[in-house]
Amino acid sequence: MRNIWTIAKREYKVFFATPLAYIVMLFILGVIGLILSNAIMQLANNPFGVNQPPDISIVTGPMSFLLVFSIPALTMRLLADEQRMGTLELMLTAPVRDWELIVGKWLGSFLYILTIIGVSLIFPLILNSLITPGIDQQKMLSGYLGIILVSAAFLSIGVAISSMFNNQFAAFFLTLGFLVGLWFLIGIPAQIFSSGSELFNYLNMNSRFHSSLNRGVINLSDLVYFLSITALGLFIGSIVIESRRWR
Amino acid sequence: MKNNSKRFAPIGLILSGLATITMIGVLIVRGFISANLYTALDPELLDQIIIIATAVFIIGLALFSILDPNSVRKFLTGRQIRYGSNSLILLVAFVGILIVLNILAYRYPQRWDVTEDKERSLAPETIQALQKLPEPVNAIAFYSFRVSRESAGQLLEDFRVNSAGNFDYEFMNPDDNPGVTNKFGITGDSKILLQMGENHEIVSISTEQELTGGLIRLLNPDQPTIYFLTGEGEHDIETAGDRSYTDVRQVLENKNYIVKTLNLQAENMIPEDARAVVVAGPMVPFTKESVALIKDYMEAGGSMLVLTNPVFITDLGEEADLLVEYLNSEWGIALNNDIVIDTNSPYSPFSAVGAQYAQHPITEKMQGIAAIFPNTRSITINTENLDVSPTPLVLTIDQSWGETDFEALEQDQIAFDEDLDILGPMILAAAAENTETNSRVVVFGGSSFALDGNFDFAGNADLFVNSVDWAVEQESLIGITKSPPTVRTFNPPGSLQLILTVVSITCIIPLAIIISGTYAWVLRRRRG
Repeated sequence: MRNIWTIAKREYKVFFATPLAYIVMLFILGVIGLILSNAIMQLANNPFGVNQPPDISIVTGPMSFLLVFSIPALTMRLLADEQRMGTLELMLTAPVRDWELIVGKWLGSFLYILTIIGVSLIFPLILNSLITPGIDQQKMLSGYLGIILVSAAFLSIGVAISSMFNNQFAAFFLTLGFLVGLWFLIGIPAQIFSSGSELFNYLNMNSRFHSSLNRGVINLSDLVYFLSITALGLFIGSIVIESRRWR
Repeated sequence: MKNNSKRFAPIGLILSGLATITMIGVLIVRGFISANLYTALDPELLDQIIIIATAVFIIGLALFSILDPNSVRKFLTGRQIRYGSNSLILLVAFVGILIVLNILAYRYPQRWDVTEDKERSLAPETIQALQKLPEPVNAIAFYSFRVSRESAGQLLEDFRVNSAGNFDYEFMNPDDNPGVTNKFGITGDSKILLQMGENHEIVSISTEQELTGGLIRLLNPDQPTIYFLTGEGEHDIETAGDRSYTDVRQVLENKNYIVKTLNLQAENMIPEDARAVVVAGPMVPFTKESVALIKDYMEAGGSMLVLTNPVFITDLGEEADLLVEYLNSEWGIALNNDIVIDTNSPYSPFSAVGAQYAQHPITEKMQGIAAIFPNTRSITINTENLDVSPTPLVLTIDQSWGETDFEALEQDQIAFDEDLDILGPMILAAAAENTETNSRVVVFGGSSFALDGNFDFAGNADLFVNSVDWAVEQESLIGITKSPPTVRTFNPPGSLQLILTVVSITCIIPLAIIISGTYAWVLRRRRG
C-alpha cells in the first residue's frame, strides 16, 4: 500500500508540474463555467421567470462529456513516457510489484481528477444560492458519484492502453477511440439491431451515467459495471507490465 | 523446399487465430443467452459455428506444425509459453469473475432513488398494482428503430423490478412482426401490449400513468359506467376550457371507467348501467323531477358524487336548491350558505387548504398531502338519520371560517364576524353510506378543485379519483399518485450580484488556474 501511495503522490505532483494539467483543468472548468453563466444570464433576463431553474446536470452532464476528451490527454504519458525514456525498466528493478505501479499511476491521476471535481463544487454552490429552496443536494451527490465512477473507469482504460505503447500519441488516440466507442458509439447497435440490444445497452456507459446516476438513481448494476471496467483496466495494465519481464 | 514451406506457416496461425476469436465470440454470446441478456435468432447455428471453428483451429495448428516444425519445438520449450499461459489463465479467470458479478447485478437489480422528492420512483399506486398481479403479465413494446426505446425501456424495467417476478417485457420491431401486430390490432409505433392470460390491453403512450392505467384495466376487466349530469350548467367533460373537467374524464378512463354524460331533463331517466352519477358544479337548481329521479336511483342502491359551489357565485339566487335539501334531509350532509375563508392559505383566502383528513377509505392514504379548494362552501354533518353514516372527509385549519357576509366580500372586506360567521375547522367534503340500500354519496362544498387547471395540484386528483372509486365500490383501486415535487424557483439576482456571479464563474476561476499554471511553469524553469 505504501508503494502505491508513494507512486500516487509522486504522480500527482508531476501533474501539477506540467502545463497539461492546468490546460485540462482550464478546459473542463472553463467550459462548464460558460455553460452555467449562460444559463444564469438567460434566466435572469427572462422577465416572466417561467423557465425551470437548472439542476445539477447542467454541471455534471457537460463534465462527463469533457472527460471523454480530457482523460486520454492525461493518461497518454503515464506509462508510455516511462517506456520511451527507459525509466520503466528502472522502476521495475525497484521493490515495487507490477500492480502496485499500475494502481499507483492510476491513483495519482484519479486524485488529480478528484481535485478538478472538488474545484467544480463551486458551481453547485452558486446554483444553490440562486434557487429557492436550493438544489436537490442528494441528486447532486448522485451526479458527482457518477462523475467519480466514470473518471475512475476512463482513467483505468487510459492507464492500460498507455502501458502498451512507447508512443504517447498512439496511447492518446487509442484511448480516445476506446472512450468515444464506450461513450457514444456502443449504444448505436442497440437502436439498430433488435436482438442483442440488451447487451449493447448494458455496455453503454453514456446511458448508465445519464439515465441513472445523473438523474438521482443509483443502480447496483451501474456501480458493478463502472468498478468492473476500472478493475479490468488496472488488471490488463498490470499484466502488460508484467509481460515485459518475460517478453 | 524447407525454407519455402516455412514462409507459408503463418497462414496456419492466422487460421487458428481467426477460429479462436470466433470461438470466444460464440462462447460469450452463449453466456449472454444463458443469462437472458441476448436472444439468438438461431441457437443451432452457434453450435455449428463452434464445430467449424474448432476444426479450423486444429487444421491451422497442424498446418503450422507441418510447415515450421522448428518454431513449434522452440515455442513449446520456451519461457514465453510458460509465463504467457499463466497470464492468459489469470486474465480469463479475472474477466470471468467480472462477467459473473455483472450478470448477478443485472439479474438481481437493486435501485436507490436518492432524489429528495423520490421523483424517479414509481408511485405507490403503480407498485400496489404490480404487487397485486394475480398471474404473470408480459409486455411487448412495439418500437421500431425510428424511435428511441430508452425512456420506455427504463419504465418497463422499473415495472419489472417492482413486480416480484410477475411482470416481464420485451421489445419488438413492429415492421418485422406484422403477424403479431395484426393479431392484437397494433397500429403505429411506440405501443405497448400488456398480456395477462387471455386478456390484453394496449397502451399508447409509455408513461407511468398510462402503463398503470393499462395494468388496472387488465386487472379489472369490469368497466363501471359513470354519468356526469348536464343541463344545469355543470362542468364540461368533453371539451377543454376554463371550467372543464376533461382531466377528470381522462384519469377516470385510464382507470377503466366508462365516462358518459346524462341530461336528466332530456332523458328523464338514469340508465341501469350507471354505477355512479356525478353532479359537477351545477349553476342553476335541479328541477323537482330531476331530484326525484336521483332520489329513486339512490334508493335503488346507486352512488353519487355531488360537487356544489357557494351560492353567491352560482345563478341559484334565492331559489330553493332541491338537491341540497335532499342531501340534508336524507343523508345528513348540510351545505352551508357561505364561502370558506382561509387566511393562512398560501394562494388566496378563497382557496382553502384541506389540511386534515378523516379516517376513511377515500382519504386514509392521503395523510400529509394537502388538497386545495378554491371557492368552496362549508358542510355540516347531522347524524340523526341512523340508516346513513355521514363522515367528514376533509377539514381546514382552525383559523378558517365560513364567511356569510357576501356584500362585504364584494367590497374586498374579509374579516371574521363572531355573530354571523362560523369558525373553523370547516368541513370541505363529506361521505356517507346507507347501510340498508348500500348506496353511497360523496359531497364536496366546491367544484373548482377538480377543474383542469387545479386537478393536478397536490392531492386534488387523488381525492376526486379515490371518491369515485369508493362510490362505485372499487376500493381496491384506491391508491395515490406521486406526492407533488418540491417547487424550485430561480431567484433573479440583482445586477451587481449577477455581474459578480458571472465574472467569478467565467473569469476568476479560469484566471486562478492560469496564474497557478504560469507560477508552476516559472518555478520549474528556475529550478532547471
